[in-house]
Amino acid sequence: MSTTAEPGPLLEVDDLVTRYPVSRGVVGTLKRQPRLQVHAVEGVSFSVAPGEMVALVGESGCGKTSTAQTVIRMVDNQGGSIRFDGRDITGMSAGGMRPLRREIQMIYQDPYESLDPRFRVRDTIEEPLLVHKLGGSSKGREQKVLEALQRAGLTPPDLFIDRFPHELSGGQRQRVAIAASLVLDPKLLVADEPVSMLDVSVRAGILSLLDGLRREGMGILMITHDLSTAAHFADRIAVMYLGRIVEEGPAQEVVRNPQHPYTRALISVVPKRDPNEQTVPQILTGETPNPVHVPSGCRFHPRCPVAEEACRSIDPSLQRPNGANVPEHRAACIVTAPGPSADEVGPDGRSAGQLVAAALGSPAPERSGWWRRGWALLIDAAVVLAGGVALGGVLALVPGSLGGSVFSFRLGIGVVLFSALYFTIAHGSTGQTLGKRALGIAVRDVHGSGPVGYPRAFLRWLAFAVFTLLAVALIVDLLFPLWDDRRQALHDKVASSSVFQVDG
Amino acid sequence: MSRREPILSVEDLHVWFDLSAGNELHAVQGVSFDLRPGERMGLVGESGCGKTTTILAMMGLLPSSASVAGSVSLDGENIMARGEDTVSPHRWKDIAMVFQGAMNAFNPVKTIGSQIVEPMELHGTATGKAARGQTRELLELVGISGDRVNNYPHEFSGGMRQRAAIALALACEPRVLLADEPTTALDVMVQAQILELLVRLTRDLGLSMILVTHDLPVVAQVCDRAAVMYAGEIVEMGAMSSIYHDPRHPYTRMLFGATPDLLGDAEVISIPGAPPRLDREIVGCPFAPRCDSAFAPCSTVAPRRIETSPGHEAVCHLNDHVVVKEPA
Repeated sequence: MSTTAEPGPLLEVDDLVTRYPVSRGVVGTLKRQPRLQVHAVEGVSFSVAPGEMVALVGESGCGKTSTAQTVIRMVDNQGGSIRFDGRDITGMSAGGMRPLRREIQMIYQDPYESLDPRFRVRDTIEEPLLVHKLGGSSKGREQKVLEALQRAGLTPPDLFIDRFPHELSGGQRQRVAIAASLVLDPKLLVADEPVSMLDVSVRAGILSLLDGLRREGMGILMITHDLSTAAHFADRIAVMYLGRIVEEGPAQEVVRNPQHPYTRALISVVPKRDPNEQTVPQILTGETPNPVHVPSGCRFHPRCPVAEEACRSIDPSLQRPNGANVPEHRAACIVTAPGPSADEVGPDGRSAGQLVAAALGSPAPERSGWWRRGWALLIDAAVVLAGGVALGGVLALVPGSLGGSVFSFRLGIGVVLFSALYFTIAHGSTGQTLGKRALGIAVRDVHGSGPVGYPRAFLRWLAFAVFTLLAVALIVDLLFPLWDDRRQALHDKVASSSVFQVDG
Repeated sequence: MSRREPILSVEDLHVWFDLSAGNELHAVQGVSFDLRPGERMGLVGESGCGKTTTILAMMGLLPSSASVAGSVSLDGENIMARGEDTVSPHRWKDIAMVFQGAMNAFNPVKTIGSQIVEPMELHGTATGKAARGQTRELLELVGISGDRVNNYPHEFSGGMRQRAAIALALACEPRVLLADEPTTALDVMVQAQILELLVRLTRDLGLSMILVTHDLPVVAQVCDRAAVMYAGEIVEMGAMSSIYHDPRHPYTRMLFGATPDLLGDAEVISIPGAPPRLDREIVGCPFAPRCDSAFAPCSTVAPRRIETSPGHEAVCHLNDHVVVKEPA
């Protein structure tokens, strides 16, 4: 977990949508068959900070490469936005993109294909300089080529500069491809399966090279199907399934504490090095469905081992699951990774009732749709009413110009104040974050590490309870002298009232 | 491990390829191993180490530019004795193979079913209706609905084509299955399905299997025994757990070190350099230039094959007390 540098992210992708039309053919057009689309990327959001390596992980057809190609504007997107270095590049023209292309470089999977066999190493690396009219004289360019080779770990560079690709090993070729992108000093490197064509023994070298570039401050977006590689080298992992990110978070957190059933299955089938440590693989049946016909609701539900009825209709959004150990861990599953906050929740409404239930240890009732929402509303209303009446009761004792006789008015103020407090703490983002931070730190101090073992919902409920108690205590404390005065006044009034003066 | 008689035994197998200008490439340099009934053995190594050549030689499927020496015995009978004449009766019938990229090797204009029937009719194990029926059973066995016998390859997904390729290899009920990188082009989930299928088949049908792969964790998951190849020879062979916990050849150790483990914390370190060229004679240990524990004799004297514990052997001077004691 590297602390993210404060300057804004290098790359910000928000709700990206990329679809490819499916050709209907002449017959299909004549028969007026519906126009179909491949839903390659459907609402993907992520960011890459300088000095950060983010891995998009998934099986073939999950949209990871489409995402990368859309990000570098090789493919047009149908929705969402891409911001690079603070600028929106979503609709930028090819001409407008040109200066930016220097700063976003791509490394391809197959160095046997990506290098021109007729080009010497020198020509391959020099070409980007010529295209972008950089490096000045041929002397200056050669200097830059040598530097790039050095940076890519091909040392001594003189030995490699005049070779042809066929004179190089696979690892060396990939280093040449990397040198050809480094020569432009990019800020962002998009690496599409940079090592999957290489031998195991040289993979680590290429990945360490990328890791070194990351340390120098480059942002790297790595596309890979290999979870082990991602776990070792990336700062953050986003797991994709059928065009969506289903889980994301710090690499070690995602791998060691997976929340989404797809991630869990994927991790269980990765063979381990130790023959005695093989876990029982949780093999999913079938294959990733065709992205032309995306399943309804949660797109993973037809293959999901824990799918419920609600999964057919509810399309879950990414939210912080209860079992997460760090706040940046998010997953999109209503069964294994329900998150409790209303402002993050899309169609899945969980609130106080379930929080209380979770706190008491019983699993929160997982009900679908309207029932759940109604129940949540009922609980919220009850809490607000009870708290509001209590607060109003306290307020009613405050002497003041509002007119002590109008008890119900004060009760109303109490309900409004209380509900404001309640919703800020329980549902609003500010109070929530404050409460969570405070509690997170407290729990970490007690346990020595993160709040492991406690469901997030419990902590949030606790935060709510503590805040309410604090607020009430504060108000009572502030008002107590006034209250005392009031009682005295009442006493005096009663004592001096005419009822007791009948005799006199 | 069972001490049963080996079903297949390879002894001192050499393969040379003729290159232009009278040069020769010594691709396989004296490979020997036994395979017992029901055993799953992994043949691991980097590309170009000769693992595919080894099993192609066992099938007698090398091109004419290759010359082969040594013996491959099936139940004690040397099937290499008279070349094609002695190999062909056993090919597919006793020893079958799932080729590298087999899923893309189906003829696109013929149905899957007709392509599985072909070897049955060729070897006369079944014909006509019986062969059709067996094909359906085979497809069911590998997890494909029997109703899909008349489908064309393009109607199958990659994973299903790989299953069909396995069904094709099983067509004549072989006893030994040679699987060459059967999961390399597949996704992890499909890979897991195929590996599970292979394990199930070897268990249920009593098949012996040689799994050729570059992926050590796959071998760790599937195989009982592993042979690590480098520069045309087996440098270490033994039970998988013994190889993982106590590797006796630096190459094996470094190969494990270069493989990232999902939940491991250890730094992943690549092996420097590249394998030696096999068209020149290698002096000393072929791994010496890349080895982190090489010492004086490694570059001059070829190491001996030494059994470090029962069933575990390695070709490295470090295990040789005679060499280690003697300061060179």
